[in-house]
Amino acid sequence: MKHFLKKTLLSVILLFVLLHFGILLLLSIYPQYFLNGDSKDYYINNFNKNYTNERSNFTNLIIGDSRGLAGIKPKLLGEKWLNLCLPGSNFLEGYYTLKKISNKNKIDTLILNYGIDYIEGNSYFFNRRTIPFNNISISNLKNLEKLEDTLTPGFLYGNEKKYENSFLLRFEKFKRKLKYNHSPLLYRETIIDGISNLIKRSQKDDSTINLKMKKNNGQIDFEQTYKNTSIGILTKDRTFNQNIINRLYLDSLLAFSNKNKIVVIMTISPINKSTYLFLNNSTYWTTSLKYLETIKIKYPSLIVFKNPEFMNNDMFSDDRHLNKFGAISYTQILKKEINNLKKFKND
Amino acid sequence: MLFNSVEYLIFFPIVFIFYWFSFNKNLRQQNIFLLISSYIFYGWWSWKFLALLILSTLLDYLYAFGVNFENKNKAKLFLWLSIINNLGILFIFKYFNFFSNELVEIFKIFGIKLSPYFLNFALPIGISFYTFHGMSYVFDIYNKVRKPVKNFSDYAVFVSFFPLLVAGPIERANHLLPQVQTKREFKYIQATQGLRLILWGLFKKIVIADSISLTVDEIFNNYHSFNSISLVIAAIGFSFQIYCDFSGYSDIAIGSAKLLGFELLSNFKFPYFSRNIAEFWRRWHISLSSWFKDYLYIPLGGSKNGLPIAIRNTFIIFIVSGFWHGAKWNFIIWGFIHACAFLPLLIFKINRKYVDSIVAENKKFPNIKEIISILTTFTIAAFAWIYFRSENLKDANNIVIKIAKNITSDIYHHSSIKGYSIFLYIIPFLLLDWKFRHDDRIILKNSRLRYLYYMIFCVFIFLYFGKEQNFIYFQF
Repeated sequence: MKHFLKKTLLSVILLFVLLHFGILLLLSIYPQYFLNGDSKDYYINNFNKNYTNERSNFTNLIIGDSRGLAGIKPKLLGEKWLNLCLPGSNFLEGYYTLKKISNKNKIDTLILNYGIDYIEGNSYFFNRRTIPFNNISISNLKNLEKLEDTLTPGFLYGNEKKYENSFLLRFEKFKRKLKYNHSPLLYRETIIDGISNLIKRSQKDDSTINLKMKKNNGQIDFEQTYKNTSIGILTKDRTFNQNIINRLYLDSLLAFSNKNKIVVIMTISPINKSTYLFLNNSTYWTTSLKYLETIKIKYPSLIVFKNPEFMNNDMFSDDRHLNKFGAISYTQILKKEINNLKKFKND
Repeated sequence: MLFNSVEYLIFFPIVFIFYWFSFNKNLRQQNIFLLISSYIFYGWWSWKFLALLILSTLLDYLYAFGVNFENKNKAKLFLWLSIINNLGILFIFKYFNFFSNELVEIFKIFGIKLSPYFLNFALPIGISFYTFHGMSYVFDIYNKVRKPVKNFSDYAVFVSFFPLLVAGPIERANHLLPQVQTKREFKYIQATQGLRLILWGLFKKIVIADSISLTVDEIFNNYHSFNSISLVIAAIGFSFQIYCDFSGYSDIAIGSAKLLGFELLSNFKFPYFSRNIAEFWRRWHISLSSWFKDYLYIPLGGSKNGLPIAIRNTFIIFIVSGFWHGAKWNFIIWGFIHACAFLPLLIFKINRKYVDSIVAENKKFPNIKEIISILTTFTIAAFAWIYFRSENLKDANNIVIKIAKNITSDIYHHSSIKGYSIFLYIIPFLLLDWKFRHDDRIILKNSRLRYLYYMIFCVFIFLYFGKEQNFIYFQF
């Protein structure tokens, strides 16, 4: 029995050590594939980091989630516009991006572009993107965790109910710290995705993604499909209820903008027609629109563009993201609105 | 509790330590500990249905004494009470809604419109397995194969032993009960065999079955959107998914039992290398097929009362076997397809052709004839799996029709074929299965190579371990 237990235990330790070094090796050689399994995310985050930490000529900014990244072409708005949207992010990441870039750059106008469900919801990709890419400083992470403890347990995981159990939450926080410090075994879940992407990789794609982003001032055209009839938001029968931490970060973001005299325009990513037909007149959609009215009252300096609520299905590459033509069309609508706004202000 | 869960990873070592270190001196205490552990294992899923398991166990334990009466009439009465009790539980929880619905459909034919009455119960996990355990015990006592067990906890461990409680292997009283009643000794070889079986089982489940299931589920759930070749790939994929899923479960069960000093019945022996359907059924879910053979086929007369009776009995056991899996027509058709494939073997008396031999024995590769027989058997099995996997009979028929209509034209449209990636899992697995088809996959002669094999399995399990997916056979 002793021999059996000893041998089993030794095997487990050996396995643990081997795995640790194996993953550490992969993380250091190919961070783009193994930090979160998707090299595209790595390059987008790198692009964001480069521009937030450097001085540049851009004075107008687009911050938002992946819908903003695919849907707004900054060059169509003007040469001084830069798209720094991060897939899966919400006001939390947006606030830190704005704060960082403002350290070295003077920002005049900011477009906040999120899908309505991201304006409302939890930070679903915090652990998958923000933590491994270190998009938040450790001190800010601590502050955020304090907020999370007092306001919404599990905000950073997307399943609040499950994390009302404080032991589980503490354990998750511990794991998050390890992941932040790139402790190899915490990257287990995305290793298979990373290996699969590494095998499928196209060197050309890898090296050109940064160039493409630079060329487009940060915007990326999503998949090449040119029609999507799937429904992107399946919530229908409940009231729109913004997460309190999300709201607090929007508060902070707007307070910071006010202080630095940044004009903030909030735009809601249009949904595809199929989603609109599904959602229209539903409790979720009507309360979402109502929310947009209330924030206009709450933040008088904030400009809110609600339209277009939806665009045709052939403008979408998947159930949520605009394709190339959709992005051109949507950016032109935004440009018109911004010009009208300027005209109105001048008058 | 699932075998592929963190809970089991914590639960089993705790049970193992207490079982061997705290309770090993007293058999009675060790069995009671095993029983409590088994009830915790089951109750982890539902404490409410644990009561049903205990009730079912208690009733069969009591009926066994009645069945053991010398008076044949009395014994028969208790036998029938036990059958009614076990099948009654199964009927209420598993089949009531099916019959209620079918009855309404029959009335509809005669122009009588009724609305079906449905019972809103969840299907208790493992119900088909533990009721069959109980029945086999009572049948064996009725047939004077064994005497009833006096100690309730011994019998309860036989029915509820956690490694086999929810998805088998379906044990026989004669095989497992003596082990429950005898003091177990820790044996190093048995324990290492057990660990290796657990690893191999986890590898099959987590790495192969769960990975294949992503593609298979996508295609089967949206079969309208996929072409016929993709549907064929999905059928092949499901054949391996269910094999790796269920044989993986069985291996973990047998391995866990070995670590506790028990030997369970073997459940799978490389079924996809079978040369005909009869051989397939001697290699697939062996504990269920032998249960049906011993307690249904043979009592019905087996094959000894002429060909017509043998054919009738064959169809009965296959259809009952299909129905055992679930109260849906597609399971019944699945059984029927296997019965039809078995029929020519029965007529030409070749159903017992490959009883003991294995394919390409003492050779590295099979010959052409063997390859053709293996492929034919696999094709029949994969075709039947379409009925098993589909949500309902209509979907299954639609898939089969789509394949039959378009397969020759779709073969030229390479770009629209989806699901190729599953072969990345299937081919290496098949090669491994072939290499170790002599049933010695666990015992490689070179100990370093063996160690390397299992370390590689561990690495894969570790990397793929994530979302816990239910084992397919939990639903039965």
